[in-house]
Amino acid sequence: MGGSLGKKKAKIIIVGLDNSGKTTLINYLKPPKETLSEVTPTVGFKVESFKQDKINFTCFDMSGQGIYRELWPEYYSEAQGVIFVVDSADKLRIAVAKNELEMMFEDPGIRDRPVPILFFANKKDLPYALTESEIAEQFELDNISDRDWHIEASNALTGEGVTEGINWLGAKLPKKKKK
Amino acid sequence: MFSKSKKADVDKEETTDYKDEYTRISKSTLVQEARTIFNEAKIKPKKCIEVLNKIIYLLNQGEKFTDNEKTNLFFGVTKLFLHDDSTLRRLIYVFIKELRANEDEVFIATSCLSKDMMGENDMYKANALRVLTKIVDKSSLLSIEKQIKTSMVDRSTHVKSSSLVCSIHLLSKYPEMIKKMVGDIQNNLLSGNKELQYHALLLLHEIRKVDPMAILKILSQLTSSQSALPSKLAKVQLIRYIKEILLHANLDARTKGGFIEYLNECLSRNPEMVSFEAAKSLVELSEKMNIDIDQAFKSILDSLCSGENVLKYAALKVMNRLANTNPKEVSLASTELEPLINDQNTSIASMAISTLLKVCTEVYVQKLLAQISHYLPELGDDFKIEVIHSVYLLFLRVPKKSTEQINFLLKCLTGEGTETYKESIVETLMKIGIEGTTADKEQVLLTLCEFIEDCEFRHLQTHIFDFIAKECPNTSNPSVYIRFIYNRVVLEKSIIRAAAVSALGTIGHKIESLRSQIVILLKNCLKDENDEVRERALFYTDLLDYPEENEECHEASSFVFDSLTFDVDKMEQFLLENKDSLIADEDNEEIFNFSTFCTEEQDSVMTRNVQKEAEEKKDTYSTPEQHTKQEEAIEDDSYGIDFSSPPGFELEQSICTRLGIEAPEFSTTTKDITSPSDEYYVQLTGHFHCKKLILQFNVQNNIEEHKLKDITVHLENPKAGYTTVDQISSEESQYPTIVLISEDPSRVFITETFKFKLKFTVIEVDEDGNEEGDYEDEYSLDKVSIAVSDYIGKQALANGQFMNAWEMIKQNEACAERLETFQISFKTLKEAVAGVIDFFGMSVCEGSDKVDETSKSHNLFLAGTFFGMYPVLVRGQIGFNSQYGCVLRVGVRSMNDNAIQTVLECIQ
Repeated sequence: MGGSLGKKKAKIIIVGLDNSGKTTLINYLKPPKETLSEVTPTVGFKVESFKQDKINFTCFDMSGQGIYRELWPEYYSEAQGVIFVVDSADKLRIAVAKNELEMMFEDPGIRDRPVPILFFANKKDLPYALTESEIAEQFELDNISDRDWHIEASNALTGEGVTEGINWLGAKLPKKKKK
Repeated sequence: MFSKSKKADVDKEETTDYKDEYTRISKSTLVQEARTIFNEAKIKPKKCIEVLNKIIYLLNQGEKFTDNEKTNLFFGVTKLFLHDDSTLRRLIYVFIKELRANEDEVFIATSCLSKDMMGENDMYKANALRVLTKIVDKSSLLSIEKQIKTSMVDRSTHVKSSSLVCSIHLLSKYPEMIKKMVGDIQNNLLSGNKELQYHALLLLHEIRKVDPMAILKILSQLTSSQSALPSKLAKVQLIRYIKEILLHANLDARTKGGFIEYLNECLSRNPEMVSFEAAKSLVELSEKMNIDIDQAFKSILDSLCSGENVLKYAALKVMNRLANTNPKEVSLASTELEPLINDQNTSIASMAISTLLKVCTEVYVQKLLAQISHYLPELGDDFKIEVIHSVYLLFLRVPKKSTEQINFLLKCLTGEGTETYKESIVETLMKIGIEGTTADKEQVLLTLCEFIEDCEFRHLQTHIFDFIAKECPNTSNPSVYIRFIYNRVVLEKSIIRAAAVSALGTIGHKIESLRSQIVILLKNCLKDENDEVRERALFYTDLLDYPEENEECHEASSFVFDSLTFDVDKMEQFLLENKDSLIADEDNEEIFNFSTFCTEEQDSVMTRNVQKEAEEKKDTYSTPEQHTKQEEAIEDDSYGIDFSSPPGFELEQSICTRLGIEAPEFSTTTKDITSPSDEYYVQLTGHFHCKKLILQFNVQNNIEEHKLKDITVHLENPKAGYTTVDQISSEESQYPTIVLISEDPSRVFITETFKFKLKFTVIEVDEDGNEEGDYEDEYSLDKVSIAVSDYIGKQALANGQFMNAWEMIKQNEACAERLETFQISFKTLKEAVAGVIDFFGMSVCEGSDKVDETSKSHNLFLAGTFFGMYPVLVRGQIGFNSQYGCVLRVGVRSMNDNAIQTVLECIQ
């Protein structure tokens, strides 16, 4: 890999509760020959890379399982962008997701740096899935004023909404690489 | 391994510049540096590699990292997975393996590594697999299994061999998983690839080691054609396995002949390594079976003349071993061995001398001894002891030169050395003294007397006193030694003074002519400042200070000096019980009979001395009639002395025939699993034979309206490690039985907790006894343990006999001894002592179960028989400290090393 010189590189981190579809989402973005036919729960974390809109993304795909959530902060400080994936059909655990989100905002790795945050309201194809506006309301996203954010309804299996979301993120990434 | 060698390459490049830096790395700055460098937004592989190298260097130097530092470093390194630099990635693998991070953390890398394993890069694949097997836990086992399976048939040899190595590591933890892959492993073994063969052979043998037939098959397959194994290492390994199987399995003559022929073939036309291994195996085998080792011997001779030191030394070791069993053969090689005495390498030179000592002729003895004493001070302890042993063998062979040998030993004795070394010299001297002529004995005694003049080891000194006291009556002029002993009384510390006084006392008893003089000396000791010395002196003076020719007094002192022939505890009890009748009729000889208290006959293996004494004892005291009386007395004895055959259910003959054995080697006492009032009263008797555990159940049905039929026993917790070999239902035998075998062949004695389930058919019966119908049912039993104490029978020793037995068992050559310290969890000293006694299930000797609550430590003496035939003696010291808890220090002596090991393993 390595990345050719002309292209932009970005490091992002993907978080969200377990079974929200993080690995599936990345799997959709990866080049066809690297995609997995079967996605299993991630243990710890995985490093993945993909190319989108002339940007080479390298991402930490974090495990969403409870015991691994405390790992997330370890990797915040390197991230130039955050993707937060929500299972929009899992109404029961919306509150849990919100709690995790708040904890993330309090972490110095995120709090002190205005990195853009992209929300995926995933699994929108499921019946009774909440819409993106309902989730934004539940999460009180309107209160976020210190950084850019965006919410996109998605279906990671078919890729609906995924590319759009990533393109938004690509556009919001710092124009010049930090030295 | 590959990753490591790569790492070394990297090291080499780097160290030219940083050599100085590497020696001055400080851990804390390095951790700090790592933190900043690993966390930089843009990873700089070169910098990271440098830091990783330094950390791995420190880890290999044995530097300790705290948990906190480890966590920090580990997380830092996981971030480096972002970069695709191959050198960096390999270092990450090495790092994760070397760091041994916290188990809760390390497996978060699992997904990362699995991804590398799926990739295209062979180097990543092989190394990621190695790391994965290191960090795997039960939950991710399934995915690993898949990956190992695919890599076993990978096109890259490197990946294949790493999957073989990983399987070897995993086998001990998850045997089932690896066993499924036997087919692939076999393919690798026969692939003809050097790298794969060795590992495949190792793995296959590990998997099959419980099954001799399968091993035999593999071995015959591999030996059938010479070209099958191009790899040197694999061939050496194969030779070792062949040796094992020839030594331990029962093979028919043809297979045996085939293997030996193969070994002989290996001697020629092969790399040195292989031919040497074959020669060595043949020599070792010749100790057990009758084979012709001429060719092997020649091959070893060739190795002796080789230019390589390692090979020379190895060949010498084989020669040395051969010299023990086959000195004639080795003496033919004297011409080859002699030049090696002057070899520049001290190890080779001394080994050559040690070998020559075992085979040389009289003429050489002096020269060799002179030469070896020149080398001796530079050698290691084990080696020195080996030399001393050779001298003893030399003495047995060439007793004529005993003067030189004793002089040599004296020289060794006065030189520098540790206690074990000195002890081995002293013991060798004693053996020479006992077995040699009177002249030898006198020389040995004088040598030892000289030694105690200047001996720093108390333990040895007291031992020597005892020896002198025992042996000097057989010399021409015993009075010489008294002076030496008495000198010690004047000059030494209290412990040694006390021992010297005892020695004097013994001599006084044994040599009538010296008695009066010794009494004078003892009287001088009465003013000693130490209590113990004074008391002993007083005791012996009282005992010995009687007018000449007083038979009665002499007999009294015989009671003290010769081994005690009756059990004081028993006598006390007897007296208490029969107090009234004794008082009523003072001269009643029938009631008060000494033979009642005689110690029972010692186990014949214990020592020849004890046996002799026992025989004498029988002659003097017991007529046959009395003998039965004695037995009765003991059976009635409430002290609960168990005799070797416990009141268990004997193994039925039909079962014995079915299993193809005559009788079990050993049976335990029967224990209750349920209580007699339960619906089913179940008892268990264990029998052991050839590593088989035969568990026989006695089921008694307490429900009147039920009849049980076809009862079978099933292992409910089929623990990994135990296979059910046979089940015998209640239809085939009176007692339903289950036969288990441990899959780990190195476990000679099984100790384990099992849970069993009974399955049976219940037949309902009405009041008149008519059968009304039946149904199947199960009945789960409580857990039942086969513990160490099940293998141990009690063996009572008379009061005061324990130390005697302890020393005597040591004199037997097969005797093994171990010392071990354990932390045990008891709240008080009393509980701890009771717990330990209970654990071993042996007889308590010397009344050592009575605990003085105020003291800080307690000495415990236990005696028993292991497996019905091996006497085991245990000395335990239990220390108690409210701050540190309870500590148990045990010394175990037995004729069977396995017994000791089993006993000790179970405490752990």
